Amino acid sequence: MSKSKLSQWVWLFVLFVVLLLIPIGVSGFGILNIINMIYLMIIAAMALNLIMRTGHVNFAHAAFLAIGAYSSTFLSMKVGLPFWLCLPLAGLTGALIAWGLGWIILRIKGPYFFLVTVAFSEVFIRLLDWFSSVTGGHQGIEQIPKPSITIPNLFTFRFKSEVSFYYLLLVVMLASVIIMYRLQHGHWGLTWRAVREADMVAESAGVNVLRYKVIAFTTGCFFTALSGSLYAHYVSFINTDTFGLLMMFGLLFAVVVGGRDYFYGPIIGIVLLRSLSAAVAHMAEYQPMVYGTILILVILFFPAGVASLPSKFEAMWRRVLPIRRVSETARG
Amino acid sequence: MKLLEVKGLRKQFGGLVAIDDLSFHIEKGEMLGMIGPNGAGKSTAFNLITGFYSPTAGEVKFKGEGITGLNPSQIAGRGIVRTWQVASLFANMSVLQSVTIGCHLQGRIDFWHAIAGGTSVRKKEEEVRKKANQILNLMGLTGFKDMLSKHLPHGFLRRLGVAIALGADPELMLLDEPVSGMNSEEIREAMALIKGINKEGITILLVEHNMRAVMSTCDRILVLHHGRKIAEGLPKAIVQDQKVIQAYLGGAAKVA
Repeated sequence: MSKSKLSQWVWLFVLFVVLLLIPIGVSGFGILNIINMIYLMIIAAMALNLIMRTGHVNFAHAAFLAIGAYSSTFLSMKVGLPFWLCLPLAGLTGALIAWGLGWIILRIKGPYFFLVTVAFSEVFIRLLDWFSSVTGGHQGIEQIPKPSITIPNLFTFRFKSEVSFYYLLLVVMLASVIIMYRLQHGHWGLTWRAVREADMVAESAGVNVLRYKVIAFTTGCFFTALSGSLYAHYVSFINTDTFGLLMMFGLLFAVVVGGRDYFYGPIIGIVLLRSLSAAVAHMAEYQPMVYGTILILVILFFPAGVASLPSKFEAMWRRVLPIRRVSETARG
Repeated sequence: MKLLEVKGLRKQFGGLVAIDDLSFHIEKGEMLGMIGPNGAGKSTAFNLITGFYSPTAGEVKFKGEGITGLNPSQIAGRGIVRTWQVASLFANMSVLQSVTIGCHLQGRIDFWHAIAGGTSVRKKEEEVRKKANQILNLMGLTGFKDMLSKHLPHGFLRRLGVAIALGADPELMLLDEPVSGMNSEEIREAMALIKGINKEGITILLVEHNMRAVMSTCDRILVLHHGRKIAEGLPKAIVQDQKVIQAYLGGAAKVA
């Protein structure tokens, strides 16, 4: 193992330990709740970015959060399955719907795809309202069971506290991020990028473009539905407003502000967005205004997102450096 | 042996007949030139053979098997690969990455394997990297390996297009105006390179505006005009063909 690679592993290990210790460091003030929501949303935002790698902006992303949340709630409360089965089944439900839908709608490109997904998400939310006898409609569903681990005749552990949920979310989030990392940094990621750059050229080189898009869409929606399921069991309450426009804008905002061309962009975006909304929580009515202003500023001044700032500063630094050298020689 | 056989091909866009009853064939190892004035239907013929359009009538056979109705990617899998005009390559990807995409058919990695990783995946990636580097070397692009393809000089961008196509190990390569916009020195170099590829055993169908380039390198030439084949034969015969001269001079021969 090379030296730089070794130090990389050391840093990752340190980061992991810090993440493990967070619940001990922060207690009270609802900070842990904010961090938990950050972990949840990181999964969904990274999944959205994975789909956007193929050049498709999925505006039905919040609808897939809803699919995960409602299917998991249904399986848990009506069918009586344990959470540990509901979670993967919710993900698979999302993946299955995305798979079926993808073969049809991913033939459509650019702004038209965006519009189709807007329509899909609107129809979907209306349907949830329509079937309010099952979904609870506006009133929603309360007391969604928390996950628990039971060893018969010995003990039962219930994930009731924020701390216990923290570790559950950490594990699922890290696993999702690692899987998405592996996919995006290799054959699949490169091919997805090629599909976005020039789909016809890729197709003529033997890439089955539609298949690659559908698999990106399905994978993204799988993780999103997973995140939706976690949301339902964590918050214990969902209604049809939970997964509306505001949620969708939040995810899109995080990806764009964070930096859509960077793997870690959505993480930065979600952390910024959630911390910000916590900071201005006492004046909630101004939140959309704050978001809008930030979005405009980011798009104006660093359209590649916050993640592009380090390389931007480096370029600026390089531009400044020669000037200084010239002035130094002039003085000397 | 007939490598590609086109029979009675027809393509209609609404009321416009772009290709009308086109039949021709390409022998294995041959270099066939396809020429014709603007709007003659050359690009349409290209898109029909490579599966980007489906024909209104007629059929395309490759190595004796019908390939009409297959996807472009399936047709690439059979061994027919095309190049594109400049603007449409992978602009924000490096030259090496672009050629790696060209090697897609060999370098495909199964979804679950990609997640699991392991030595078989690494071995395949290593194979593809080696192959891509070989192609870059062959096309004289090694020095530009890490450059973004949008920053490549014009002439080299054309080479990259051919390099991407070579990645798929084609038996038949369709070249879409490979020397347009080049000066005569560049044209000479590029045509020598293409002839070299042809000598390696890759059959070539070449669409080109530059008459001299086509005449000096192609074994046979096919002339399209208004979607119809008006002449086919050796370069020497084509330049003297009355119909061809008339098509290119737009009926001026009659006036004179």
